[in-house]
Amino acid sequence: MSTLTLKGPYWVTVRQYRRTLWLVAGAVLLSLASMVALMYVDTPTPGTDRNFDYTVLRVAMDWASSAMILLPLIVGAFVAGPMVARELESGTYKLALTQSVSPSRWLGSKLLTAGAVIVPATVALIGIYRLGWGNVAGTWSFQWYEAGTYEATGPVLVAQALLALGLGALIGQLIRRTVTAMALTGLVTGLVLLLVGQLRWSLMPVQTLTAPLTEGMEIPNVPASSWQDEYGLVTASGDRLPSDACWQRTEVWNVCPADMNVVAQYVDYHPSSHYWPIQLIETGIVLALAAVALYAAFRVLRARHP
Amino acid sequence: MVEYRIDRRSGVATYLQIVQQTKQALRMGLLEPGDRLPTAREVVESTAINPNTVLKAYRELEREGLVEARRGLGTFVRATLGTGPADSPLRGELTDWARRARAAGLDREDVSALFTSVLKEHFEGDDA
Amino acid sequence: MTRDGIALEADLLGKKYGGRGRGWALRGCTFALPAGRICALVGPNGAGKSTLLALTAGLLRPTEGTIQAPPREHLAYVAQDKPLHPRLSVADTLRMGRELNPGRWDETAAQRVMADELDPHALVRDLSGGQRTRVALALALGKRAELLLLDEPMADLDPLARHQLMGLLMADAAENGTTVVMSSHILTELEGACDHLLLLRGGQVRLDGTVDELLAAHTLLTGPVADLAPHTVVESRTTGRQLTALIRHEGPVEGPWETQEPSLEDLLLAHLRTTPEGAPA
Repeated sequence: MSTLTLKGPYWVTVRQYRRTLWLVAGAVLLSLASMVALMYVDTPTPGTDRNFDYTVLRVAMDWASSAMILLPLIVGAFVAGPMVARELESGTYKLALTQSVSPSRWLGSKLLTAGAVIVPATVALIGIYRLGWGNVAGTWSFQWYEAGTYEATGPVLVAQALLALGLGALIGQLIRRTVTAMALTGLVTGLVLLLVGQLRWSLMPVQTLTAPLTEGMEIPNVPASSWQDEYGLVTASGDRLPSDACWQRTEVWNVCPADMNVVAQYVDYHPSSHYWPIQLIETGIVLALAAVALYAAFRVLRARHP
Repeated sequence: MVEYRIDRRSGVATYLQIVQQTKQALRMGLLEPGDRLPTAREVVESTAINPNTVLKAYRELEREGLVEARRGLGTFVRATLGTGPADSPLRGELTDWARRARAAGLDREDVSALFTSVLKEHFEGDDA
Repeated sequence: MTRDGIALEADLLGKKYGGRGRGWALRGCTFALPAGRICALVGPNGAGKSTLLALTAGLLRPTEGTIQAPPREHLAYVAQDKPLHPRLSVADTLRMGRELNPGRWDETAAQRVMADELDPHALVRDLSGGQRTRVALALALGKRAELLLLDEPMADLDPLARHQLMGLLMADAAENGTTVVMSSHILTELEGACDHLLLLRGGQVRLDGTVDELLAAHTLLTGPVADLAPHTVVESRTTGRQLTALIRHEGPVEGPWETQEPSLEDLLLAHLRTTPEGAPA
C-alpha cells in the first residue's frame, strides 16, 4: 500500500482513508488466516454422513455466507457516508473543489480508488470462501444455489459491490448527511439486490423432467445438486396441472380420474451446469445497474458544481 | 533602512504618514543619498497596509525629487533634506540656545511652548 | 473569461436557495472589480457575502444573471469555517495543496504563512481555530492564485497573527498583483489594507467603488439642524439643536456646518446602521 507512486487526487484519497485501507487489508488477511486454521483443525468425523461433517467449519461458513451477503451493503454505506456525504456535510468539499482539479476528477478519483480496493478485496474474499467451501460444497445448506453461497462463490458479488459503490456515490450526494446517507444506501442496495435476486431463476430456461405417474408422494428425482423449481402433473394435451389436482378429486395422491387425462408428472429444475451462465447474466445486469447509478451520480455532481 | 510605523487612528492618510516618516529620516540623517528605500513588499509585510498606498507615497516622494525609482532595482534616495546631519551648524546653535534657556530657568514645557510658537510664526501656512 | 483588467464581474447576479422559508440570498448584483485591487466585502449578517464568495469560487451555480471569475485553477478560496480534513496532518494538508495544484504550487509562499508556528506532524483536528486559519491561508497562498477569496479570514486570529498574516497577504498582492476579495466584520482589519469596497445589504450591492472615491464622495457634517437637500443623507442624528449627519454630497456642501471627510469606519458604520428604504428597522 505504498503511497509513493500515487499522484494528485489519488494521493489525497489514499491518504485520507489510509486507516480504512489498512483495515480492509487486515480483514482480508484475518479471514484467510481463520479459514486456513479452521480447515486445519476441523477434520471430517469418520463414519458420519457428509452432510454433518466439519461441524466447526460449517458454523463458520454459515457466518461467512451471511457476511458476504452483507458485504455490498457495507461497501455502499462506507462510500455514501464517509467518502461522499461527510465531505458535503463538513464542508471539506469546498476545499477540494476550489483546487485545480475538476469536480468530476475529484469524485472520479475517489470512486476509482474505492473500486481499486473493493474489487481485489472482494475477489480475495470469494477465494477464501471457496477455500472453505471446498470441504462442504454440495452438502446440506451449502449447495451452489443456496443464498449466501451463490453470491459468495462467483463474480456476481463483485458486481454487487460495484453497484453499492455507484449507489453510495449517488445517495451520498443527495442526502448530504453522513449517517442518514449510510443507512439509506444500505437499505436501497439491499432492496435492489433483493429484486434482482428474484429474477435469478428466470434468467435461464429451466430444464424439465417428466416421469410416469406413480402412486404416492414421490417426486421424480432430478440430477444431484440441481435447484428444483415447481412440479406437478401433465395431461395428454400437454397442459400442466398443480401437483394436488388429482388428490382434490380422489383424495388419494397421484391417483387421477380418467376424465382428467393425466399422463405423467413433471418437475422443473436448474442443473448445476446453470451456475456459471446464471452468475454471468446476473453479473451483467448488476454491472449495468452500477453504471446507471454512477452516471446519475456524476450528473448530480455536474448539475451542482459548474 | 527605515521602518515605517503606521498609526491607523491618527487621522493622517496612510500614504502621508510614509511620506512624513521618510522625510523625517532624511532630516535626521538616517537616510542618505544612494540608500535604498524598503520595497513595497517589505513595507506591506511589516505594516499590513495596501501596496498601492506605499507606491502612492513613493510616487509623491519622487515627485518632490527626494527619491528615484530605478527599474528592477528599487527606490533610492536622491537628495537630503533641511538641516541634515546631527553635527550641522544649525543644530549646534539650537543646542546652545537650549542650554541658555535652561540656564535662564525655563523648564521643558516652557521651552517646548516657546519653540512651537516661534515655529508657528515662521512656518505658518506651510504643509506638514 | 473576464474582460481585460477586470478580475471579477457580476451582471444581475442572483442566488435563491431551495427549501421552505428561504428566499433570495443575493439579487440583482452588478459590479466589476478591477484586477489588483484589495476589495473589502462588507455587510451585516445574512447580507449575502458568503453566497457571493461561493458563487465566485464556482461552488454554487447562480439562479439568475452571470458571474465572471477566473477558472478554478486561478483562484483560491478560504471558506468561513476553514474546512480542512481533520485526520490529515499539517504536512499532509500542504502536500495535498501541492498534489491538487500540479505546476502551480509554491511551497515557499505556503511555508511563509506557516512561519514555523506549527508542528508539521500535528493533526488538523488538534489545531486551534487560529492555527487552522493559518493552514487554510497557507493552502490558499501556496496556490499562487490570481484571485484570492477570503471569507472572514482573520476572525479566529490573535492581533499579532492577524497583523502578520494581513502583512503577508498584502506582500503577496504587492509581489504578484493578486486581486483579493475579503469579507470581514472587523473594520480595523480592512482600514488601510483595502482600496476597494463592496458593501452588501439584503442581498444587494449598496456601495461599490474605490475607497478613496467613496470617501471623497461623502461628507461628515455637524452643525445646526437644517434641510440637507440636495444631498443624499446616509445617516443623521439630532441631539437638541445639533445635527450630525453623513451625506453623499451633490456638489459643494454650503451651509452653517462643520464638514470633514469621513474615515472608512465612519462610512461603513453609517451605511450598516441605516435600514434599507421601506424596510422596518
